Parts: sequence; structure tokens; C-alpha cells
Amino acid sequence: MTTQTLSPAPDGAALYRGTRSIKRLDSSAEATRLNADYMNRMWSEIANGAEFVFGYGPMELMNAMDLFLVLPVQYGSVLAAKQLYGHYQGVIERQGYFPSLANYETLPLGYVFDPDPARAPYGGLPKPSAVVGGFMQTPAVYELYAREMGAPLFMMDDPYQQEHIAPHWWEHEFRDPEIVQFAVEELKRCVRFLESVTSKIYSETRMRDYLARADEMSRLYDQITAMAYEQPGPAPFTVTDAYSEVAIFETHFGHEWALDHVRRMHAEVSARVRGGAHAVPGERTRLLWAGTPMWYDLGFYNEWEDSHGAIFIETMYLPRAKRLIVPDRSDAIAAAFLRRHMRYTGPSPRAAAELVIHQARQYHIDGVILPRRGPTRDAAASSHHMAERLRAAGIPALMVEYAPFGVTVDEARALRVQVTDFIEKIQND
Amino acid sequence: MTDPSSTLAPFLRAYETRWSPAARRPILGYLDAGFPEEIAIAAGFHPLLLTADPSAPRIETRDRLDLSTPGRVAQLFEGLATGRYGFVDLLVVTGGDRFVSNTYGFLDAERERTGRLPVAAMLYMERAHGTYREHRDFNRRQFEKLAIRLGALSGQPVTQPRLAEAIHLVNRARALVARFDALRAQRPGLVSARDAALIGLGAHLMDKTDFIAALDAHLAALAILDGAVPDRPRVVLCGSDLDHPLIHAALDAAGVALVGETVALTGGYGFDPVREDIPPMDALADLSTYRFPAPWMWGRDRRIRLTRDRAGAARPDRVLYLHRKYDAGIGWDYPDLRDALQAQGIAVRLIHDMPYDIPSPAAMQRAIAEALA
Repeated sequence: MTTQTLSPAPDGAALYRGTRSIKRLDSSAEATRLNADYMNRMWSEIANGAEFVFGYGPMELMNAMDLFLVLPVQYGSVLAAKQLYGHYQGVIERQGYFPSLANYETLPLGYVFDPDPARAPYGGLPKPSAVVGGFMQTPAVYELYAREMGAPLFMMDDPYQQEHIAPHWWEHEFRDPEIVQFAVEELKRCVRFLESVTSKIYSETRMRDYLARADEMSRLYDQITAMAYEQPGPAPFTVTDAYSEVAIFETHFGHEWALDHVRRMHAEVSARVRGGAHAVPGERTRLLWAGTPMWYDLGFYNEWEDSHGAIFIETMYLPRAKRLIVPDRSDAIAAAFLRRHMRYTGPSPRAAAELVIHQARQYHIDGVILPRRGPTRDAAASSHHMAERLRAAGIPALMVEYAPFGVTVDEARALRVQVTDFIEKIQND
Repeated sequence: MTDPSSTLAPFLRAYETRWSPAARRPILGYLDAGFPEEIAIAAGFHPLLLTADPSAPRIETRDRLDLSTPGRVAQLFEGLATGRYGFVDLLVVTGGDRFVSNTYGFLDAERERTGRLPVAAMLYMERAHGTYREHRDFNRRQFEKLAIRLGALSGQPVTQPRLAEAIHLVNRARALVARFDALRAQRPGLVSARDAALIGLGAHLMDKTDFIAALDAHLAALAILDGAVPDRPRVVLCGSDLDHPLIHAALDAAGVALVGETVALTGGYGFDPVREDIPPMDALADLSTYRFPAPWMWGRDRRIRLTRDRAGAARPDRVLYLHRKYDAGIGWDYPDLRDALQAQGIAVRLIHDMPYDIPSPAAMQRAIAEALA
């Protein structure tokens, strides 16, 4: 408890500097390059006055409307990756906001309060054409963004919790039709708003083209995942290649160049599987990292490959691809919404546990590591419940503390000891 | 002449027996101030706020929830998982506040883990976050569905006349609380902060008829007291919601007079009556959508303005703004609220990132005294 004065800026925190990860796929380097090209072009065009939306919304929709979308969490993570968390969180706190409110989604407020283009990555954030609040943890933050940026605001409600989630929910439509209809109407109003405050137009035909490509990308990602993980034995790539793909997966669905890239990735993985090219030829243990990656320390996930023959695979991105496919595109805005909404099950630990057990079996997992989330997400009970259910199902599970902005050297060392012990216990049992 | 300390007894008893209440009707537990209790009353339930325990250690569920869970939700879950609320016949978890609403998911997981729910039954009702017309209509549909389900469970269908009668009953309670709030502002020090909190919480705990009778009697006892009250600094409490009177007791110990509060559970009951001149379900939907925006709702500027106005109406010497750790709902209203209050000449004292748990009331009391000094 703190009285009167706010805590000092966290500039002085000594964080562990992560190591570089290992990539086996050419397509991983390509994904990184393509995303960097896109981002450089986006920031360059934004700096030159291109219209962009700051906030959240279905990526496929923004892509189809030819609008750049800058996600607060995306820019916040860039600020953190550039070691600017301390500076910008300090700016936020000096404005009078409280330390326990900090997360990636709110960190760009630091730039908004201290708009120095020379310090900020990509020359900072110019005034967006609009701020769109959607999938919001904290609505007030979007109201603040809009006010401080001097941009029009559209708030989009999206109830994402429902009383009953049917077993095997990922295999069929499980969402409450009334909730879906309500949220789709919100999105339709948002489209009108965007057409009003930008020079861009919405075309149902163009949206369907984007969705068709997005679904094709999803199918390819699903096949890639199946090829890589659904067979026992050494996998053709590991989580570090999958994480290289995340930028494309999360932000570029529907672009022609992105589909071409995923086709190349599919061909490359197929060839590796056919040719018996393994990421770690001596793979003995396959671990599932069931949660948000430690973006600041991706090399962590390669550290037990040589010493223990242990690899990591992931559950948040590529394995989700099949759930994004929406074949019915008769109402394209509804289809765009349905690709994204409630595909996460944080509010239902039971549903989350059911899925992770299914994935652990489907991907021949020897052990699951569950990062307990810090004050950034509301899936507050999922990790513990998932661990319990996994163990009850006979699948070893380890819970570790997850820090969104980085860990200290001691914490990084302790985490490695925990993981080593977990792997050795699996291998010795 | 009736001694106010004796007329306060029903409120104290309601708080002391909040985890073992004697009720004449099935108990419907709810978790936040905006729950449409009128629907529950019309269906024959006794709506009762589930209050957590800030002074108890979390033992059973300490490792079961992650860091990000706000303290009240964590303590509610501890209480639920350990059977403290086993007396509840039906728990209705409402959407809106995403952390409070996650209690539904926690309990759903608990049912899977242990094979049973720690309450007899549980429902979930979603709510919209904004004030668009469609949000109001969405809320109305949710209320209608809730009414049908509650009526089916209790065997007492929620008819228009029953709902209108329930609204009238709750409005009578709200009007009395508003009178009580006005008295606090007019005669600072007449009522202790802790007593006021007990009355505020009593509105959420007691049978409405009993509450009305008790508050009527208490107001009558207060009215005949001598007008002389100690001259103390006038304070209004703003910020995170509270479901216990410990902070209020600390304000008493600090020697200030709490003349008002914008904190929903202990101090917000008297603000918003439901209209009785339009169809009852419409009136409830209107109130739910357009009332003072709850911390989880959109409308930050409106919330700040209304909070400033409500706080200012009590003519405080200072406002104590108390922020609980991880409370992102009201957390982002500060510092604009501070500036709005200061512009009216009201000093603002701040305690932020305060844990919900209060293992040491003495330390908390010192912190409050320091903040107000």
C-alpha cells in the first residue's frame, strides 16, 4: 500500500537479457523479413500521413479496408522490447496513474503523454484516424487514448463469456447466437464509423476475398501443425519457428503475400517431413508451452535441445488455426467476427483444461509447462486448473511464474532449474 | 426516546450474520452493486450480496488463482470454495466486470474438480458495457431471461405487477438511504462512518421490508438527537468498491466525519431510484444502462463528472481516494477526478495500490490517518 506519492519509475530494474532463439525453417526467416517489411512500410506510410486505426478489431476487416491497424499491445511490446518500459511506465506514473495498472496494452500511453518521436520506436505514434476499443480489458484506457490522441473513438462491446460451453467446444459452433448477433451488430456499426472518419470504404466482395485467403491460410497452418506435431518422433520444427510465424498469424491474415508465404512454409515443412529432417534429431521429450511466450527470452525454448533432447511446441497460435476457419461467408462481417471471437477460453478454466488435454494427446506431449499469468490477463484460474486436470489425466504439468515485461537474472536462473528438474523427472520416470 | 445505538442493531446483526443469514425466502447470492435485485424479489428470492473477508488468510485457494486476480474476487472464491456461502440457494454471477464475472468460470472449474458446486445452483447473466440503444435492449433481454429462469426455479413467475411491486419496495429503501445520506452531509459526525457503512451494506444484505423498518426507526432516533455534533473535518470517500466497514472504522479513528461516499456497495444505494411510471422491465433496463456508470462500464468522463458532483454535493473539506491494487475499473479515472475536485477547491488525498486483504487493521488505520493528516 502506498500513500500520497506514486512509486518511482521502474527504470532501474535489472532484467535478464534473453538469448537468441534457433530457427530451422527458411520460412521463419522469411516471415520475420516479410513482417519487418510490412511494419517498415506501415510506419513509413503512417509517418507520411497514411490513415491508421489504433486499437482493436478483426485484422481481416482492417486489411480488407486497406487500413493499417496498430494494436496497443503490439506497440507496447515494441516499447518493452526496446528497453523503454521503464521510461514510458515512469511517464504514466508521473501523470498520476497507478503502478498496478501497468501492462502492454496501456504502455503506449507513456508515448502519448511524452510524444518524443526521437526516442520512440518507428518515430512514435502520429495521430490515428480513429481509436477503436474492442476485446477490451480496460475500456477507460481507450477513452484516454482517444482523448490524448485527439482522435474519434468507437467502442465496440463484445461479451465473451457464456454460461455453458459444450464439451469438445473447438470441434463445433458453441457460441451463444444472441451474444454473437449482438457483437456482430457492434462490428457493423464500427465499419460505418470507420467509413465515416476515414477515406476508406468497406466492400463485402473484397472482404470475402480476404476471408477466403484467410481461411486458406488457416487450413495450411492447420496442416503444417498436423504434419509437425501429430506424428510421434522428432518434429520438423519447434516452438521458436512457430513463434517467428506469429506476426504473420496474428496480423496479416488475408493478404495475398501472406498466403503466398504460408504456401511456401507448407511446402518447406512437407519436404522436411518427407525427407526426415528433424529439428532435434535426438528428440526424447516434447514439451508444450501452454501460454503467452516470453518474448524477451525466446532462446529459453532451445536451451534443453542439446543437453536433454527436449523440445518445446506451442498451443496459442498455429494450433488455433483450424478454429479460425468460417466457411459461411454469406455475411462477411459476421464471418470476420466469428474468426476471432471467443476462440480463447480464459474465462472458462474448465474449457481451457479440456482443450489442453486434447492437444497434449494429439501432439504426443510428454509434459506441459503452464506460465501463471501476471496482472495482464483475466484468465486468472486457468493455469492452475489446467495443471490439475492434466495431472489427473496422467500428463505431467509444471506451473511457472510468468512475468510479462521480463525477469531478473535470479528469476531467469530459478526458472531454468525448475524446467531442468521437470524434464529430468519426466525422462527418469 | 429511542437510543440510535439500539436502532442500529439490526444492521449490525445483518452484517455479523452475513455468512449465516436467517431468511424467510430462498437466498439468491449476487456479487456486485448493479445486480437487478428487483427481479429476484419479484421471483420470491431474498437477494443477498456475497461479501468477502479481508481479514482472513487465503489458505484453500491461495495457489489456485493467478496474480492478476483482484483481492475481493480472490477472497470471494476462497469463501465459496471453502463452503462459507453454502447457505446460498442460487448464485447469479453477472457479466460486466470481467474479473467478478470470472467467478463463474472459477466455480465451474471447482465443480469439475470436486464433483459439486459449493452453492446449490448457479446462473450467469451477461450485461452490456455501454449506453447505445442496442446495449439497453440487450440488457433488457438478459433481464427478461433472468426473470423467466428465476420464476421457474422459485415457482413464483415474475409478473408485471410483482415486478412493479418489487421496484416500489426497493425504491422505498433507496429513498430512505438517500434521506440518511442527506442527514450525514447536513450533520457531520452525527453518524459514524462505520455505522453508515453497516447501513449501506445492510441494504444489500437484509430483507427489504426489514431494512425499511429498521432504517425508518434509526432515522427517527437520529432526528431527535441534540443537534450539537463534534466539529471534525468533512471527508468524502471515493475510489474502489468496499464490501466491509474496516476502512470506515479507520476513518472514525482518524477523527474525521464521513459526510458522503461514491463507493458503490457501502455508499451508493440511495443514488438511483427506478422509474415507476413506465413498464417495469423497461425501467430496470434504463437504470442498468444509463445510471451512474459502474467502473467496468464505458463513460469515463461521465463517471468522473458525476463522481465530482456527488462528492462535491456533500461539501467535503477533502476527498479520500482509495484505490485497490489491480482495480483497473476506477484506476484510470484518477488523476482527472483529482483535478476536477481540486478545481472546485476540494483537496484530494490518495491511497493507491492498496491490497484488498487487511491482515493488520492497525497498519491500515495508520496509513489512512497519514493520508488524511
